[in-house]
Amino acid sequence: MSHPHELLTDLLDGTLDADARAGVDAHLAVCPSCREDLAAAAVGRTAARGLPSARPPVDLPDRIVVAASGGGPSSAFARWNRWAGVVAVAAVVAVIALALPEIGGAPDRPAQEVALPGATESTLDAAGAAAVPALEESDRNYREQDLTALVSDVTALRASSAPAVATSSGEAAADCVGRALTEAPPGALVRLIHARFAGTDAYLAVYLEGPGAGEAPDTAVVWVISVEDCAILSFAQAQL
Amino acid sequence: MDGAESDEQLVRRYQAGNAEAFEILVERHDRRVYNLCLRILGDPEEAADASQDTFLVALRKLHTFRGEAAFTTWLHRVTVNACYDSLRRKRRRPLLHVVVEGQEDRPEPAPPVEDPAPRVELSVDVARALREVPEEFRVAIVLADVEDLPYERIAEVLGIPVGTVKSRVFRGRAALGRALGEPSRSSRASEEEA
Repeated sequence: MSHPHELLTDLLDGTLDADARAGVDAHLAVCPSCREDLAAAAVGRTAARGLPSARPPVDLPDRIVVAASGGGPSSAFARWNRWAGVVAVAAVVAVIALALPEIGGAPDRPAQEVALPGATESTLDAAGAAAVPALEESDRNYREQDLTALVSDVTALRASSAPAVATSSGEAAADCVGRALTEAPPGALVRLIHARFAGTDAYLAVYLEGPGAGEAPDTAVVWVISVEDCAILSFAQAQL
Repeated sequence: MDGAESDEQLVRRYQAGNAEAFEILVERHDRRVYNLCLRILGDPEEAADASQDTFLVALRKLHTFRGEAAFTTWLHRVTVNACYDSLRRKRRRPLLHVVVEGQEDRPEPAPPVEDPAPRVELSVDVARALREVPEEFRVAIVLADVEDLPYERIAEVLGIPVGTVKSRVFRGRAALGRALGEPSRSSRASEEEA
C-alpha cells in the first residue's frame, strides 16, 4: 500500500480540497501507521512553527564584512598590501623552517606553538618587488576532499625551502589568482601550486588569514582558480 | 534604515562596483540566514560559522546572480548548501550522538534570545528534538515551518519537485513529533504540579 504523504501535508496545512479529503480519509481508515504518523506530524508542525526567531551574535554582520573585505577591489594600495604581506610571511616562514626542523616529523603539533607574527606594514621590507611564493608545479589531480587536507596540514604551509623568488610563471599565476579574487583576501599568500582540480588545469592559492590588527594568522584558506579563464573553481578553509 | 532599495537593486549596485551594497545585504539578511543555519545545525557556533561561509560564498558568486530567481531564494540555496557542508564535515559522529555529546563537550552556550511568547512545547526541547530528525527532512521542515516558505519556493531552493518537498515535510514533521515524545507532555507536567 502506498501512503499519500503529500496529501497528508496538505491535510495538516488545511489546503486539501473536499475530493482529495475523501480519498485521504478512506486511506486513514485502513492505515494505522499513517494515523500515527499524522498525529506525530501534527505535533511536529505546531512545535516547529512555534520556534522563536533567534538573534544572531551581535558582531556577526561585522565579522562577515571584515572577513569578506580585503581592502577594496583592485586598488593599487590593496595590491601592494597583498604582496607586501607575502614578503613578510615568506621571511617568517623561512625563519620557522630553519629554527624548527623537526616540525615535519610532528604533524599533530598544535599550530599555536608556531609563532607567526602578523604580517603588518612595520615588518615589511621597503622593496617594492612583488616576491610571490615559488610556483609549485604538480601533476596531482586534487579533489574537493583534498582541499581540506591542504589547509589543515600546518607542516605543508611552510613555503618550499627555496627562498621566495620572483619568477615569470609565478607572477603570471599570481596575476591570474588576483584577477579571479577581485577583492584582495585579507591575508598573505603562502603557497601557489599549479596542478589540476577535478581534471581541470588550475592554480591552488593558499592564504594565511588572521583577525587583523597585527594578530597572528588563525585561518588557512585555499582558492582554486582555473588557469584557462581565471575563474574561481572552489574554496576551502581551516582554523589553524 | 536602508530605505526602499530592493535586494535586486542592491545586487546590481554591488555588481557595478559598490562594495557598500554588500554590507547592506548582509545586515538585511544575516538574521534570517543565521536562524536557518541554527535550526538546521542545532548549534549556535556552527550556525555563526555557516552564516559567515554563506555570505562569503554569496559574495564570490554575486557576479553570477542574474535575477532569474528572487535574491532570497538564491540566498536560501547558498545557505542550505553551507549547512550541508557543515553537516558533512561533522559526519564522523553518527547523528544520534549529537544530542548527547553536545551537552558533554562544551559549556552550555547562551541560549538564543527568544521572543517571550507562551509555547506548548519548551522551545529548548523542540530545538534539541529537531537535531534528531534526519537531515533531509529537517531541512524541509525548517524551510517550511520555521522559515515559512511556500512549497514552490522550497522546491526551487532544493531543486526538487513540489511533491517531494511535501513528502519530506510530512516525514520531518512526524519525526519531530516522535522525537518530542507524547503530545502535550509539558502541559501534563504543569497539571501535575498544580
